[in-house]
Amino acid sequence: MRRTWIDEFSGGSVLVIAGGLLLAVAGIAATATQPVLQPQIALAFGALIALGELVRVNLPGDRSAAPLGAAGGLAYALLGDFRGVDGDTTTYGVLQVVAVSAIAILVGAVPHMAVGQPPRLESLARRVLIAGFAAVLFRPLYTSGYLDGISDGGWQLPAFMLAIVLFSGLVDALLAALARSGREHSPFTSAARDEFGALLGIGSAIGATGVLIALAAGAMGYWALPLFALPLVVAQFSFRRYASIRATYDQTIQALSRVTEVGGYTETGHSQRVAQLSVAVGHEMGLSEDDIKDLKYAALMHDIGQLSLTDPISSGATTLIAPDEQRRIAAYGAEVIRQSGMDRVAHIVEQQTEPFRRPGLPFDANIPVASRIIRVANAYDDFAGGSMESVTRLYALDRLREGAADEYDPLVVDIMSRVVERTMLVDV
Amino acid sequence: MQQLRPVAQVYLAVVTAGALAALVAALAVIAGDREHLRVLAVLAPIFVLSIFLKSRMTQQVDLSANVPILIAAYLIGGWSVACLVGISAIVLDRRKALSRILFNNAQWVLMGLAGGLIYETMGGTSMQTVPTDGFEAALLGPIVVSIIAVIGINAALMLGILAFQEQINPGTIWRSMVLTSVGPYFAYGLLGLLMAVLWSIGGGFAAALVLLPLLVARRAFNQYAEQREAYESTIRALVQAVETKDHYTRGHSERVSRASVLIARILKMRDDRVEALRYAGILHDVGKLGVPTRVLQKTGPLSDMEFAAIKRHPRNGTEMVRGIAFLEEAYNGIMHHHERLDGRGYPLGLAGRDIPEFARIIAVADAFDSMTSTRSYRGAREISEALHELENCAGTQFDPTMVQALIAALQLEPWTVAAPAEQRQVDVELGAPSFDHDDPAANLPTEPDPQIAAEAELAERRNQRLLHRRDVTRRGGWS
Repeated sequence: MRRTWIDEFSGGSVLVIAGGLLLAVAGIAATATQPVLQPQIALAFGALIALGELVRVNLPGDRSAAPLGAAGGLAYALLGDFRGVDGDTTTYGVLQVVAVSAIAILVGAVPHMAVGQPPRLESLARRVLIAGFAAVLFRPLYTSGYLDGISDGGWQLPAFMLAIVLFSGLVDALLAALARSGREHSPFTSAARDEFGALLGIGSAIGATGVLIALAAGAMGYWALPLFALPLVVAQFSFRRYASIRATYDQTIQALSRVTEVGGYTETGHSQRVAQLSVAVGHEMGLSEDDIKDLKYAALMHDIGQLSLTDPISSGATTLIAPDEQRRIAAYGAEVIRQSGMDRVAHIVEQQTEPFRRPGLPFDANIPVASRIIRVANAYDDFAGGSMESVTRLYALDRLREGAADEYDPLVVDIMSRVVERTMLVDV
Repeated sequence: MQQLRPVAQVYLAVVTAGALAALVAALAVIAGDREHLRVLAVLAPIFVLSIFLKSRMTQQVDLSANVPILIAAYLIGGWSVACLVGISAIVLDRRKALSRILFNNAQWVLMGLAGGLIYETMGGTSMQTVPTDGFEAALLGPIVVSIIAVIGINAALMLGILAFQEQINPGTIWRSMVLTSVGPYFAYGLLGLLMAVLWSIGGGFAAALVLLPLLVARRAFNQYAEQREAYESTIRALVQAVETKDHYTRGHSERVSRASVLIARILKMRDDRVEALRYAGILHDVGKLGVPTRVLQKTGPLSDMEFAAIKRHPRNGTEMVRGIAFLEEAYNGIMHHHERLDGRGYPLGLAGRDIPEFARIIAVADAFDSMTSTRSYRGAREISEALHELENCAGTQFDPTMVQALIAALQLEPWTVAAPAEQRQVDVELGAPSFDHDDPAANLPTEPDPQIAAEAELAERRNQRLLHRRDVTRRGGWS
């Protein structure tokens, strides 16, 4: 696994937050020293952004998003003509955009903090940075009159705005990837791939709405804000429903993973611990978001095949029973999972019993990475359980290292040692 | 589609002729007018492509992009452009029956015609360019009236074909289709207005941008629908896992769920609660996963220990599904489905109204299905016989309200009993289990286990705050 220099910024979020904070302070300080230009417009957009922040939504993939707020910020940055204000044009600069966005975002975040669900600082910082970024590209050109030539109702101005929004979206995805790779200890490249993928979804609706509000305000004035925000509200509603069913699904898989525990087949918390460890390793290995999801589900349900046993095996530790028996249990578990339509997850569960390499044979590249990870994580937990004692943990790691090369994928063992040792520093 | 009835044939001919006349008139207006042609050239392709955006789930709220485009067409180019945009989708119409192709496309044309004519008559101006006196007052009146006209035409035409061909009662159509479509249509109208406004500011390119958030919304919606389906099948897989362990429960969970829903409908339960009850019924025996297979499949009488293990299944089941937020009320149903009205059930020995409603329903459904299924120690009973037995036990074991509701429901709906289980190889080798504890006639010991009762009491308290919950379930709508 090749790792790039940027991975070493494990504090990617810190970087993004510091950048956003710095920009916000600069914007607010600069704006405070002089009169606010077009104050009513600033107020209207501030209200839109704050409202958007208030109704933010948690999207699958651990993404906190405020589509309406982000679109409002972009629109305020891209605002040109505005029907109903003095001279029908806007004259404010980049720093005022930053100041209005930052204050509105903070105002919208306060109720969330009050109920004990503070939004992720990094995502707030990103929204300030992106509004500022779009403003830097647009406002100087507009206020100095360079765009007058294309503001005649043709396609050029919309296209230019769209280009700015697209560019801002890409930068936003990069910032998000920076923060994510720090948070999850995953390679920057794989985090970036995931974030670009997410950008295509609600990101395009956010960008389009920002452009539409800015364009329509020239002819409609304040009407543009509620009217053009509406399609995005519909989109956000759909996303919320999707996110909620995804959450239900997640909870159900978690419940399924407890089935073997309730039945006395496995030790309490075993599946959850294996899943946690597997996901941590998967992140470090740069698995994509979809792969991580499958890995997590497979790890949670990797022991479900034990339900077919007439009598529970000793403490549920599959590592300690005969390979053929292991395989039979895994095959039964895979069959149950396959019936629920999760073919990939079923395959991962089925293959987790395969040793990394049979003596004298080259390693089998057909075994999914996820299966190899679960195999190692399962073995680790069978040896160490949920123990926080570093002696036990180090003993378990030693056992894994002994088995590396034949039983276990050496790379996985390696990365898992790192993960375990990292958490040991925190826990012990 | 079956043969068109004569009266429907005449109706179809009239509608098609009307649409054809409108199209000829529209062509005459538009010919040689470059502005109109330009609007048509941009909107018609978008309209055609929107056909592909049809939602996969027909039961769901349909975010059609076609209606807004049609409305934008007459706002920008007048009725003639709207008629021609309306017919354009015929090039990709994949419907099998010619009559359906004709009717549906004629309908689009006539909707465009009506909306456009009304809009112009009411004094609405073309949105080719930004109206000089602003958008607000001048446009809103004509738009609202024109949208009502579009709804009216749509409803009238549908009412006609459904009444003449399918012979559906117009009152039903009015309630189920027209009333529910008013809201969505005004949302479409708004979107159409937005497209038109954008057109006047930035041309067709900007107008098409309005559809982007809509597209994204639709995609998210489809993902939602897909995920929901996946969710259903996961639950089913879970249940099948139980049913492979316990020979008696094959298809049992599904039928208990169905009978519970029938009872709930008679009781006029709220939709979201019915949905939770449906899941509770499916999952009521999921706790058997936690009972050793040896005990579930044992032949001959059970020891006290073994019976205690079986009696733990409601609690196990609750333990398993706890944490699935939207099933909150279902916990009670799973937990207490073996309670008896006289307090001699398990796990808590609750009595009367202390037993949660879900549990009282599931208990009846559970016993009913058990009695109408074949067991090794007896054949399946007739439905009437089973209902009679339920009535006998009403007041002691079952809630009479629920028993009566089931009887009432079965008079309205047909019921398919369990297919007689085929002799399984395992059963031949080992002999089948000799009793079914769901069967009221199996006369099992029914004293609550004091230790289990104490533990469950605690769990029960945690469950008490959970009556009302957020609805994540399906919402029916116009499609």
